[in-house]
Amino acid sequence: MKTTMFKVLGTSALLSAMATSSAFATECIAPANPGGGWDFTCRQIANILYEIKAIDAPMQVTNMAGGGGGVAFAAVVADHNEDPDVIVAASSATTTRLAQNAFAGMTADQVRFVGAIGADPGVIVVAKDSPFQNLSDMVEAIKADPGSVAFAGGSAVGGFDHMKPLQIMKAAGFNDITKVKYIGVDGGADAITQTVGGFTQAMTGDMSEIVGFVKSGDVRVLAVLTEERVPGFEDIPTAREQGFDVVAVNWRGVYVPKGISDDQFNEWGARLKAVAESDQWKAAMAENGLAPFTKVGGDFQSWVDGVIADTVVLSKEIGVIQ
Amino acid sequence: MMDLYANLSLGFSIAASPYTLMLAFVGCFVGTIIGALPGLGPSNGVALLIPISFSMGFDAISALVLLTSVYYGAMYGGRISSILLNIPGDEPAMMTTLDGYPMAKQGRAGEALVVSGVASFVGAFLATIGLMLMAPWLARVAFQFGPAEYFALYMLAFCTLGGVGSNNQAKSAIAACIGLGIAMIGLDQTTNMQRFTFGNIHLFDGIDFLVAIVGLFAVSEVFHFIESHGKNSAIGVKLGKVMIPWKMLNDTKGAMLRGSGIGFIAGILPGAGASLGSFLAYMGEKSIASDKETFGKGNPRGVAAPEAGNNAAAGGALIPMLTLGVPGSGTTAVLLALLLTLNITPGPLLFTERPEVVWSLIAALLIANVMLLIMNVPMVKVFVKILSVPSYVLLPGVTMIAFVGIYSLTSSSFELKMMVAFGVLGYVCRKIDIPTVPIILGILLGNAMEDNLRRAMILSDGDWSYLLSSPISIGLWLFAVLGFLAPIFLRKFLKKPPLPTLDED
Amino acid sequence: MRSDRIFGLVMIVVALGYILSATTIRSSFMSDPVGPRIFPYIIAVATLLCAGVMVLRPDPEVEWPRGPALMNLGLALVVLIGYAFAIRPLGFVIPTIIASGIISYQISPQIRTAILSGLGLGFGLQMMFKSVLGLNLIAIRPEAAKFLPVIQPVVDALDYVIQILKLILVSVYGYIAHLLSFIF
Repeated sequence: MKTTMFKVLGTSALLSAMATSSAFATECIAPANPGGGWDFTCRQIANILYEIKAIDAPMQVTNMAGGGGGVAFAAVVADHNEDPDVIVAASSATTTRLAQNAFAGMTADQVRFVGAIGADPGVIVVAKDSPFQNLSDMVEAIKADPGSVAFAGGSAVGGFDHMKPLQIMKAAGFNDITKVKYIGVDGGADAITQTVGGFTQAMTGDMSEIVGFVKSGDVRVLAVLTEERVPGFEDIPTAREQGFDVVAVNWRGVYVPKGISDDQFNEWGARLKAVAESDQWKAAMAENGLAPFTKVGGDFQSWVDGVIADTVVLSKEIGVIQ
Repeated sequence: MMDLYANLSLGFSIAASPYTLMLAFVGCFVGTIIGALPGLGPSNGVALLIPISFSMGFDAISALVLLTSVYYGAMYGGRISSILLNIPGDEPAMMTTLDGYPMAKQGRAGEALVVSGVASFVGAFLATIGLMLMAPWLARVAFQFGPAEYFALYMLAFCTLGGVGSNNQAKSAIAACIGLGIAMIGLDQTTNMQRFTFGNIHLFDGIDFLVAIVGLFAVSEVFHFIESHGKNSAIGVKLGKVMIPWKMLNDTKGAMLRGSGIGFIAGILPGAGASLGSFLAYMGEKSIASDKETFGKGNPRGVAAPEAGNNAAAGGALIPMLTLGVPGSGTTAVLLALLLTLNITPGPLLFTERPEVVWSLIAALLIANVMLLIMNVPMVKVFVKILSVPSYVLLPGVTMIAFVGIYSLTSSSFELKMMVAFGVLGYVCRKIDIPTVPIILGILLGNAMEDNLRRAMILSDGDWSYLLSSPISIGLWLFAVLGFLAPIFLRKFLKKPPLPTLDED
Repeated sequence: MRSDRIFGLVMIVVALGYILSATTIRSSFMSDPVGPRIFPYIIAVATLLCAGVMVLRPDPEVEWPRGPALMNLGLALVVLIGYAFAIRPLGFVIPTIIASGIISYQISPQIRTAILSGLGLGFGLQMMFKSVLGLNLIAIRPEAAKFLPVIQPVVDALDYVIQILKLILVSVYGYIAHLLSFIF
């Protein structure tokens, strides 16, 4: 047993040493520092594409942090506009920022959104000793006194996590949404800590951020913001079945430069589909609390356009943009 | 207690295999070199090695052992360049320069290296023990820290800054203000509005503190060196025979233990990290010393305390990272990224669901510490050799490494120009005795400080008394006020401010 | 005396400019009780206070470089800024050779050592970062290679050597691991 293990280690090291000497043909840009969602997307796509032999040479992952993704966006528009070998990791945060004009005037139609391979369902969470047993309890409490419930989330004001409770309140017919208290902290784990510590009354975030806390019993999930209940978390009710028609998922996908041909665009779509259907990706999704969410090609582009239009409307309403 | 024993033996059964031991050895060696090279520290070192560990196809535990060894190794190595070159490898090693470099200039470089090596071991070892004993339990403590408590904590950090590095409190304070002012540049977290960016997209995320650190320390060193032609600069320091100064070790053991304790606690607090650990350890040691005036002039305790504190904080910072997924420092943020890419989700359940990961990591840390002690005390000359390349190669080399390090993070030349600008600022500050440490701390903590103030005000609807609403925050504020007033009060008893000792003598 | 006063005055101007710039920060009407301007104001006021102290109670004067020393510093600054501009369009090797050569000469004014350390650092660091550590570092851009076609072949040859060394190391390691597997 041990012998084979050592042999495997030896040969794998050997192979990888040879592999690194060959040139990188394709590149995935993660518009952030290592760690975090975009980096994860790039590294998984790079590993899986090579493992399933969808590309001949390993894919290079480049980190290009800055401007909340804006630096990479600008670089792709300016320097790589016709480069068929580059993809850039993106998520709901990318489209939210584009919708809110946070990329210094650049717009979503300067690139093509080629596909999503999974999604992180939005969730509303309270501490285990919270008086709120379901979403209606919370909504009623806010309607009675908007200041009584403060939400913590991992994004800035007007960001994706902030939008989720606002959408729910609007769905409940409460229109004075600027009264809803929200603090943006540094990521989902921080938001949970604040909520469990009793500094805020609820947390808004993504499923992947709360998996560990749900299992340990520190928190109770009031609702997941998907169309159907999430596989593996069947006991968590959706907002929709509680009477609040809100769906908010943080998709994980990529965009490509605008100037590539339709054939090249479709080829990337096919590659992403292959990643989405691979066992490696399914395992990675289950491990990280992601739900299946595969949309590629023109289908995905039109879905993204719709999401951006909705975000613009809501952002105007809360005054994040004029 | 039986649990602990069972867990540890599980950990050692995995970590003590020859393969893992070899990885730990390589990690420690590479880490020490990375730490010792000026301008390279644990966070960029670990960040650089993540892609390599992937291309080598390591499994989760191997990659974790290798990179945490690099992490600890870099924490040890950071002191070598701090002491011999007066260039901290990264921000937590800053405090070691204050007394380590003067010791080296007095011809006591060997002693300084041994004392700091042993202090690093004590700090890291105690912290690992602490991690082992307290991690499961400490997962709850972070829940006690809300926005008001964090704000008070940062206030404490800045108020105790007064006495460090400079003898003029106004200069320390203005340095902190420069840092805080720079931290404000970028998108405002709470409202998503741009501040001081002047429409430049490179400024939207603010100025990366790595750019500032490398500029203020490495690039300004180039200017300083060219000006002085080496006559007054660091690189001329020679290391004689390294003897183990038993008496000095005995004299500094109290400083090491206190530094470890302070550093460990600072490391546990999410967001505080190793810089604060070494800083508070140094300040704590200075405040209880009877010979305060020798601090900054080569007091061995001024080397032992921050080195123990810095390494203890590195161990402590693993606790919030492993138990909550909240990184306490730049490096643990990188390690967190590593865990996530390895499909290990840190959180309250990590200790029960993946005990083999946690306990083999702890066992590997214990092993790495012993290896590092051996490498860094009897074998320290090997690493000094690496640093003793002639200055006309080392200095341009350091500059180019600084450029590549920043360039590889951002792939843009804007940050490089910014780094040169920080180099000029660092040179001017050094000339007129404005300490650069508070600038860095200001950049590091500024946003978190403001965000927590504003979060507290949102939660309290603008009621400022909320800042003093819990015993923890009241305690922190008391210490902050004391820390700010004490140096002013004490200075009255000194007839005349002593001359700066950092560079001139 | 003078330097502290000048620095203090500069900081006063900077702080006033900072306040002026802070007044233009927009806040959305969702804003929090503190808003995005208060904290910058607090910092600027603290800076004004400290700068005032520096102007009124300066420390003793320090000695600034003048004449050739100042020229030297200026040259170093120009080299570093030029390097920051050149590394992206030209690739890593050529700017590194030139910049490190000049800095090396400034520290130890011998043409031979300067050229050698420039060449050594240019190629050596390229090898270390690209071939050993695997960073995505471009040795030379094709546009620049037209003018200096000698660089790329040298880099490739060195890379080849490193890869062979790597291979040997890995094989030796694999063999040792294989041997060890009999023991444990």
